[in-house]
Order: sequence, then structure tokens, then C-alpha cells
Amino acid sequence: MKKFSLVMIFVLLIGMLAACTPAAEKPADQPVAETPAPEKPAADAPTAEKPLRVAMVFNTTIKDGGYAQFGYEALMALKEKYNLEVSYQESVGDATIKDVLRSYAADGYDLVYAHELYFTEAVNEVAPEFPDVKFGVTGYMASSPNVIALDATNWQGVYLAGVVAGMMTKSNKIAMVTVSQSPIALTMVNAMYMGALTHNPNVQILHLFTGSFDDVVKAKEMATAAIKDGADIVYANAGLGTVGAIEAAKEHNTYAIGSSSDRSSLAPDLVLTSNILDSGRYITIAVEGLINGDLEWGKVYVLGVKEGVEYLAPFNNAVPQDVKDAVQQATQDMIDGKVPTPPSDKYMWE
Amino acid sequence: MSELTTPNALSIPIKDRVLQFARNNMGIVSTLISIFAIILALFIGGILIALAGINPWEAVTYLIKGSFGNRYGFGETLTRFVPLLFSSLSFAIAHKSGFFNVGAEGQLLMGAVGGVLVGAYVTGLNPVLHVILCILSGVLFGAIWAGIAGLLKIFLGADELINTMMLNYVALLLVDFLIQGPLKSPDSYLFVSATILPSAKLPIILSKTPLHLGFIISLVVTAAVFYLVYRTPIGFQMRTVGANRKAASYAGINIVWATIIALITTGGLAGMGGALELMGAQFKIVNGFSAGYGYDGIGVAVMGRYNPIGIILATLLFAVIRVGMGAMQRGAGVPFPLLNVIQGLIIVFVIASGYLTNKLSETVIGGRA
Repeated sequence: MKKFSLVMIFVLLIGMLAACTPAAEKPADQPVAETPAPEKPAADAPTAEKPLRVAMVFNTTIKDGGYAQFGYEALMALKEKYNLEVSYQESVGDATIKDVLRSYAADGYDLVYAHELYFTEAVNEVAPEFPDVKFGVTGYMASSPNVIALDATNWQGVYLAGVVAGMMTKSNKIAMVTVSQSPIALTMVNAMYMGALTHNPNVQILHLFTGSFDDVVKAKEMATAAIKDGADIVYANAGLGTVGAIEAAKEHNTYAIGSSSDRSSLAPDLVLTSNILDSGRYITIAVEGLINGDLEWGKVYVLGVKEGVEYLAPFNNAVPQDVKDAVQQATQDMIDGKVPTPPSDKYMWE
Repeated sequence: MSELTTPNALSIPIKDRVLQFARNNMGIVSTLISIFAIILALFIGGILIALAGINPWEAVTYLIKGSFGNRYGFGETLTRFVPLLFSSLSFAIAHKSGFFNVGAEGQLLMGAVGGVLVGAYVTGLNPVLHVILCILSGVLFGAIWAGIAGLLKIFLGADELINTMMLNYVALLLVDFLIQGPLKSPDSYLFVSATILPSAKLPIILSKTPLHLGFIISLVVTAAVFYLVYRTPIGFQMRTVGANRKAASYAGINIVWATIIALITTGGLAGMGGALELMGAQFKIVNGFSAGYGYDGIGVAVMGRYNPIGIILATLLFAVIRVGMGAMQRGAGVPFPLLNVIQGLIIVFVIASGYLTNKLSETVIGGRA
């Protein structure tokens, strides 16, 4: 035992010597080089004035293949386009978001964007402490003059999907799988109904909700039940459950419409289209608004088809031209403001 | 001929000289070993960072700069320090009393619930009184939560490791339920609890940072707790029960009483950490209120060898890691998963160094330090 310990001590001492050399160098030259040059701007300085510094915060990983990833990719595209200095932090919890926002703001970033609904209150709490910094959030509240809140309508894209579903259904029954019966979900169901009604007065919606954002199996079972019940179009907007519902449609050779992102790869012949919520548009709108000065800070913007946040993915070959034309028309109607907001408190057909 | 009678330093075998040095300077040696472990972990982490295509010096610079190098980061580090210190104290006191409490996470959450109940719903109090009541309520809730597992152990012999761990999940889901239902803030769109009143908020002690009064409270409480354990009769009883229940019983110590005091202390400390985090930093319970402080506290206590100075230093290290990791991501663009790897490396190395120090002290002293 003694020998063993001595060997360990020896290993430690040798290792310590080895590790000490680089560690001693670091404090000597690093801070000097670090303080005057916040890395990138030095190279860019001659070309233009100081580049805009934009920071973005995500609550999940940026590789989520959806919401956060779109935002991250948009940020990188903006970086190239406008020569921004960007930084981001991912997987930030609700408990630490305020510290992250303050760190960025204290670091002198021009725009700090929180890409998550649940960060809304934190952004509004931190923003008044840094009046010179602009804050953005994908949320529903902007209580300080340096905050902008960008939100999706969450129904305009569904309305377009409803137009497609209403025209494509033969049994006049459309299955709709969502997560809950919340006001947002009810708005979506009613938007689907309104869209379908435009070209099909006899349409019926079978609304099913899974109660969970990640219950793939339940979504699949529910979609299967609806198909057995006569539905011949499945529209799925149920988080991860969307995949399950489309899977059910695939097994029963039924048309499906996806949501959030383009789901055609799941069943290329059967997924007619997907109503896309392009979460990358938020940061783009915020940054371009800051550069062009055409956004009013201290306001909540609810964005939809007109602003390019919501739209339909490319149609598959099963969709005939007249449906495409109808969607075109519906899009134009919505941009012109002819489509009223659907009710959020009850089913329209009740 | 004279060499035989008066051996000079050179003639002593090298092995004995090393041992002698180690014996005389055990404190310094063990500190050096810990520091070396951290450096080694950072060194390996640096290699990983370099493999990911990022300049490791830049990343390490941000780790230091982010947690100490600027005013805000410094304040943030000391703010993270508070709940970590309480949860590690909680684990350490339980350990001293022969009680394995891995439920600090749940007790901390319940402490925050206690804080919200008094902080948000009791109105019209003087700020000093309100803050004190809030903290006491947090202590009470934490103590009750630990008490459930403790009473099960005392009266039914149920294993407290399982019970405290399972109660973490109960607490987590209970808090989820509370912030979605009874405690939900009526004027928020999200599932968060009501915000505590301004009179229950702790004052900031360093302007332009989040550092709040809880930091000073935490240091005072640490001193008080170790005074209780090492300098009072009940502390002696707690430690004796912890060392050997049967011997303690034979010596006439009231085991139930000592265990109950230990329970109140351990649960109360975690609950107090939750209440202070609520009153100083977050002001309301959000989803994921405790970012794993209860679990990190176990590592901190082990790393700090259950002694006050060690725990304070280890807590500081964990807080620096927590804050610095964010800065590494923001400044140098180190990917988040890699940060978790480096954090794991530091913990593994430091705990391994603790083992090494124990072995070393067994060798040179013939017992544990």
C-alpha cells in the first residue's frame, strides 16, 4: 500500500510539473492581448463603423431540428449578410435566464434576443435596468420602451392548411391532432374549420388532443381512431406527436398535413403540405428592424402570413392546381386583412 | 565514524524525506493536490476544446473572466454560491449525523414554496420582519420535507437514501402542480408562481450585480452550523450518533432527539437555501427553479471533505464553473454538450484527488486527515 501511494505521489508531481508550464504562461500574456481587442471587430473595423453586436438565447439545444435551430440558422445568415458580431447561449433554463440576459447586456451587446415564450417576463424584468440595450423576445409582452415582443398568430398558417384539407377531403371529415384544448389550440381548430369551409360547406372537424408535447404513441393512436372513424385527412400539430399522427396516416394510406416544419420526408406521397412556422423570421425581423429603424420598440408584434412567419411548405404531387390557386387566393385575402381572427373560447360549429 | 551517530539530512533515504515533508505539511499538500486536479481537468478539457476547433486558451480565459474578471460575473458567481452552499451544508450535516440526505433538491424547492407563501401572500409587514418570516417559513418547509424521510427512518427503519431521493420527485411535481394551479400568478400568461412582495426581497449588496444579502447570511449560517456541530453538546451527540448509533445509545444519548435535531438542521438548511434564492435572485418559482443545486451540493460536500473551509472553497469552485461555463459558451462559442463534459471532468478529478489525499494521509500519518 505504501509503495502504491508513493507511486501515485510521484505521478502527481510529474504531472504537476508538466501542467504548470502552460498554466504559468497564460496569465502573463493573455489579459494584455484580451482587453483592448474583443476579437472580431479588429479585422472589420476598417471596412465600416463598429459592427452591430447581437446575442441570442435559446432554452433548448440549437440542434433541435425545429424551433431553436431555425432561429440559430437565421442568426448565422444575418451574421454573414450584415457582418454582425454574434454570440449565443443554448440550453438556458428558466432559473438562469435573467443572469444570461444581464451578462449580455452588461457586455455591451446592441440587441439581446430571447428566443422563447417562457423568457418573456424575464426580458421585461431585466430590460429597464439597461435602457441603452435593445431586447427582443418571442413572446407576448413588451412593457419597457427598449423591448420588442414578436409573436406568431398561430392560426393563419392553419387556415391555409384548412383550405387544402377542405378541398382535398372526400369524406368531409378532417382529423386534427393537437396537444391541448387551450385557447391557442381552439383558435387553430377554428382556423382550420374556417379555411376548410371556404370551399367545402359540409366539412367536419374531429378534434383530438394528446395532453403532451412529446407523446408520439398517443398521437398515433388518436389519429388511427379518427381515420377508422372516417377521416381522410389528418392534420397534426402536437409537438413530437406530429410524427406519430403522420405515421398513423402512412399506415392507413391517408393524406396528412404536417406542421411547424416541412414534414414531407416522413411520407412523401401522403403529406400534402405542412404549415410552417418559421421561427427564424423573428430574429431576422428584429435585427433588420434595428438596422433599418423601422420597428417600434416597446410594442408587441403579432406576425403571420403577411410577414412571412407562417406559410405552407411546397405541395406534393397529389395536390391539384385549383387547390394551389385557392391557397394563393386565401393568402392574398389574409394579407389584405379580409380574414377575421377565429374565436378562441369555443368550437365555431357549436 | 561520526556519520553513524549524527546522520545529516542527506543521508536520510529520499523516501523518508518525502514522507516527512508530507507529514509536516499535510494541509498544503492536500490543497496542492486539489488545485492540480482542477488544472489537469482543465488541461484535458482544453484538449477536447482544441479538438472542437476552438482556441482553448481563449475558452479558459473566458471561464476566468466570466466568473471573476468583471463586476457582473463576480456578483453572479457569488449569487450562485448561496444555494449551492446551503445544499452542500445540508448534505454535510446529514452525513455527520449518520443520515444520508440526497433530498436537498426537494427540500430546497419546498423551502422556496414556503418562501412564496409568506413572501407573496402575507401583506403589510415591515421589510425586516417579512424577510425573517420568509426565511423561517422556508426553513420550516425544508425541515418538514426532510422530516418525512427522517421519521420514516426513526420509526419504521425505512431507508432514508431512497426516501429522500424519491421525495425529490414528489417535490418537483408538487411544485409543478402548485405553479400551474393554486400558486399560479393570476396576471401571468405562463405557469409561474406569484411574485413575492417588495418587502420580502433581499437587498442587493453590490450594485450593478445580482449579489444579494443572502451571501452574507449564508456565511454566517455556515459558521453557526459548524459551531452547533463541533462546539455544543447536541452537536457532539449528533456526531456520536453519526459515528456509531449503538455506541451512542449505550452512552446514554437520546438517539431520537439527536436525529430529530439533525433532521431539522439538514432539511432546514436546504429549505433556507431555496428561500434565499427565491428572495434574492428569482422572486418567483419558475419551472426548473433549482438548477440542480441539490445534487451539486452532494459533490460539493464530498469535495469539501465535510469541513467548513473546504465546503466554502468547493462551493466557490462549483459556482465559478457554473458561471464560467456560460461565459465560455457566450464568448468563445464552446458547444454546450462539451461544457458538460468539462464540468464532469473537473468533478471526477477533484473527487479522485480527495481519494488520493486520504490514501496519502493514511500512509504518512497512519489515519485520515
